[in-house]
Amino acid sequence: MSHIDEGTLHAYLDGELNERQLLEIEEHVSACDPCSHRLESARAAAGRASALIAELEPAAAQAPSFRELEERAAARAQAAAPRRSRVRPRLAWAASIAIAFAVGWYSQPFWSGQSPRDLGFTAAEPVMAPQPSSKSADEQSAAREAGQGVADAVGGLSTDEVRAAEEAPAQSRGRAADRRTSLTEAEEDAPVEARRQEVAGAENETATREMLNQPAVERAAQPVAEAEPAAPPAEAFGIESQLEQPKGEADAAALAGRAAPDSDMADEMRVRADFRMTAGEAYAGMFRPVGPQEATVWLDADLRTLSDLQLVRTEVGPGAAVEGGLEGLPAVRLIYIDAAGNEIALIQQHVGEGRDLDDAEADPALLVDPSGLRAYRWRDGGYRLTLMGTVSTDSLQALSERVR
Amino acid sequence: MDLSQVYREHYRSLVRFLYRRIGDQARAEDLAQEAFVRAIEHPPDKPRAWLFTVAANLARDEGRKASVRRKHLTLIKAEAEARPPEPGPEVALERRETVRRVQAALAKLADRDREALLLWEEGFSYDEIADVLGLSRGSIGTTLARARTRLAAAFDELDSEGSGEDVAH
Repeated sequence: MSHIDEGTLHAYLDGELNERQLLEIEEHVSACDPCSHRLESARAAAGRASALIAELEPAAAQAPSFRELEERAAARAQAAAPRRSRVRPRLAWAASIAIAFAVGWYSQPFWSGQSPRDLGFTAAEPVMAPQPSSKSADEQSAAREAGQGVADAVGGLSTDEVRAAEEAPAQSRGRAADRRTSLTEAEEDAPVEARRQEVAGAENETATREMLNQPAVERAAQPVAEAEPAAPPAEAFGIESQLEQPKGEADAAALAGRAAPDSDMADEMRVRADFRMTAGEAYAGMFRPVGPQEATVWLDADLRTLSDLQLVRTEVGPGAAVEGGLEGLPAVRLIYIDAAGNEIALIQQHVGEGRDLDDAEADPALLVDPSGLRAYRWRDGGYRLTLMGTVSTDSLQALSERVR
Repeated sequence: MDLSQVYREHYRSLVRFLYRRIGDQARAEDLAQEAFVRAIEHPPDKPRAWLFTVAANLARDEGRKASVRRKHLTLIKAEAEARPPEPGPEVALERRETVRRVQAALAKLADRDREALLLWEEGFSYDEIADVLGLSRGSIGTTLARARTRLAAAFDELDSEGSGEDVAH
C-alpha cells in the first residue's frame, strides 16, 4: 500500500471512514513511520484549527421568538398583496380620465357655443383660458411620450403662451371647433383638466401645509414652488405616483434580474421588493416623496445620509407623526435597502444646537413594535435621528455609525 | 422536522457560522433570521442543510466589506444588563487582537475551504458539507486538510507580524 493522502488522514481523524477503510489506515500507519508522523501532524492541525475557530464565539444575544419570524414572513406576504391591489386605484384613475374625456367630447357642441365670459372665464384667470390650443396636439402627445406628465404638458405654459391665449381665446376655440375632428382628446379637454389641476393643486398645497403644521412651511414653500412648479397638481391627481410606479417596478425588476436569473429567485426578489414597503409604510399617508433639494429646504439643514446603502426615496412629513418625533418640526425620511433586502428608514429632524431637549428626548432610545419593526433613536449634533427597520437592534446601532 | 424545533436547535449554530464567516455579530443575526424567514416562506425538505446553504449565500452577498466596523454605542439598558460583565481592559484587548487575527487568517482562505471548515466546526458531516457546498464527498477530506493547514499557517504568519509590530512600537 502506498502512503496515505492528506485528505484520507483527515477523514480518518474526523471519523468519516467506513470500517474497512479504518482498518486499512490503522494497519498502514502502525507499520509506516512517515504516515504515522503525518497523521500526528494532521491531528495537530485539526486541533489547532478548531481551537482558533473557537476563538470566534459570538456574544450571547437574545434571539427573536420563532413566532416573530413567522410574523415577519406573514408581513412580507401581506406587503406583496397590497402592491398588486394598487392596480385597482390606477385603473380607477384611468377610468375617471376616460369618462372625463368622453363627457368633454360629447359636450363639445354645448361648450363651443359659449363665450369665455359665459363660462365664467376671464382674462384675469389665465390658467382657465384655453391655453392648450396654443400648443399643438402633436406637441402635447410628444410631451406625454417623453414622460413629462400631464402637469407639464398642460400647466407648464410660458407667459407668452398665456398672453397669446388671453388675447384670442374665442378665435382659438373657434378654430378648435372647426378642426374638431383633427384635435386630440387632451386638447379638447385641457381647460377642464387645467382647472381640475389648479383646484387640486391648491387643495394639495393646503393639505400639505396643514399636515406639516409648522412655521417653516411659509419660508420653505416658496423656493420649493419655484424649484418644482408642476409637482403639486401632478401629485394631486395621482399622476406622479402613476408615472413613478413603473420606475420603481423597473428598479425592482432590474434588481431581480441582476441577482436572480431563475424564476424562483426572481419571485424571492419580488417578495423582497414588496417587503420594502413595510418600514416605509410605517407612517403611511403621512409622508410624501420629495427630491433631495426640497428635503433640504424642509429640514433647513444639510441632509444626513447613510453610507453604503442603496437610497430608494426621500420623503417629508410632520414631526408629530413620527414616534418620539418633535412637534413643530418637519421630519425628513430617507428609505434605504440593505444587502439583505431589508428596508431601512432614516428619519431626521433638525433641532438645532441651541434647542435643549429633556433627558427622555435626548437619550438614545430603542423602540420595538410587535410586528418586528425596530427603531433606534438618538441625537447627534443638531439633529434628532431615528433608524427604523425589521432588523436587529444591534444592526440599527451599527448602522447609526454610518450616518454621515 | 418542525421548523420551530429547527430554529430552537440550530439558530445559535447558524449565527455562529455566519459570525465566523463575516465577522459581524449583528449582521450574522440579521442574516440568520433572514434565512429562517425564507425557510418559513418556502419550507425546505432538509432544513438544516438548506438554512446553511442560504446563509452561506447571504454571507457571500455581504461581500468582503464585513470587517469589524462597530464602535461602542450607548447600550440599551435592558440589553446591557443581559450581557456578561466585561473582562479587564488588558484581557479584553488581548482577546480582541486574537479574534482579529483569527478573522484575518480565515479571510485568507478560499471561500470553499473556509465554509467547509466552518461547517465542520458546526457539526456537519462530510456528506452534509458536500451537500451544502456542492462538492463530492471524496473531496471534503482534502478540502478540510488544506483549510486547516492554511488557517494555522496564516494565523502564525499574522501573529509573527503582530509581534514584530509590538516590538517596533
